[in-house]
Amino acid sequence: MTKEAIKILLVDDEAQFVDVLAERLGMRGFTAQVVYNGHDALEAVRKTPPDVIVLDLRMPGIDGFDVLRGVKKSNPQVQVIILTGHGGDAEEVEAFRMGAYSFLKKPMDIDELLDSIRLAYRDKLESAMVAVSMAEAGDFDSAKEVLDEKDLLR
Amino acid sequence: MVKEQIAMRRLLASAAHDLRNVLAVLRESSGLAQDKIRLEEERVPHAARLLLALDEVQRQIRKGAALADGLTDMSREEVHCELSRATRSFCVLMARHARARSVGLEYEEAPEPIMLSLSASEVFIRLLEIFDDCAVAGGVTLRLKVERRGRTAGVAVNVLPLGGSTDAAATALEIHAGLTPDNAPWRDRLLPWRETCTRRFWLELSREEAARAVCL
Repeated sequence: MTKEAIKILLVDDEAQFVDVLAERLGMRGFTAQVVYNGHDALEAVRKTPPDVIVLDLRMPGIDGFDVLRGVKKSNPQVQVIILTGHGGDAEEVEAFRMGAYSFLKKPMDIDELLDSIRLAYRDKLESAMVAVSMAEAGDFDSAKEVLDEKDLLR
Repeated sequence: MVKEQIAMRRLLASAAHDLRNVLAVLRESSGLAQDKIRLEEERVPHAARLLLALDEVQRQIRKGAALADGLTDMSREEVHCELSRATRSFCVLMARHARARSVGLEYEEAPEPIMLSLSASEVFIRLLEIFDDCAVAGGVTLRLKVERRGRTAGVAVNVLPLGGSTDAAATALEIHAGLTPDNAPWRDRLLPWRETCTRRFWLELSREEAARAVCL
């Protein structure tokens, strides 16, 4: 699987930031879809679930926590990396409790973000592989438990 | 007063958040410029100089991010803090003021996190009091080393010369409430000359935590 194959969704209401970030990711061979609010993020996930979402927390309307909750409910296999300017410990704990993969603070180094994206994607693949081997062995309940999801078994 | 503190904390949190967003835009934009120049370095006039300038922008952004961390720490309502982080934030936030007063500020973190039942603001106040005593004299560097000593924790304060004598600052700190001299007993006998240039004190913060718990 090449890096171009990782489907990334960037969600942030700071257009100047997220557009440039998408361009820089593109220069490194990653294609990222960009949306600027929580509503569009949930819609994008519903239409084409990405592998990894890079999600801001504080956005007008549906905020990052609502998006995280919605994504983990509908597509739990999607990995969510929080990237926020709000650096509170309480938010970090809450994000991990809700299933976020990692928590980065702005301004971050792009290599740090790329490492996090790669690791999140690798974890997702490993979970899928474990589930497949369990399913092949006939243990469908455990396979489903590993993934805790619906899409791959659909 | 409590109302004012809450209002100030909210303002600080909001400002720190906005500062991070501004820095993030600057970081990505200058990073993009670096990426583009590197792609066509041979065709861009003064590419090396431009890359150097953009490196400096990135370095300043990191300094700005450290300031935002400090502001975030000051905005916290939690009644606990991690001592190394609070000490680092103090040094970062006070750096400009310290330079103006001819006081150097250095810090050394503990190898492991040390959680205290004190807010970061309370740690700032304690360190600020020490700073103010030294700033009257000036010409010294305060090296703050966060340590755990047995079951207690605190900050070892080393007063080092910075173009001046440590005498006046050390004298002020000797009568500073909460600070205890921290020179090993054998040092006076074996290394008397050392004491003329370096003075050590110990600010114990975990004891205060215990006293606070007893009061409560």
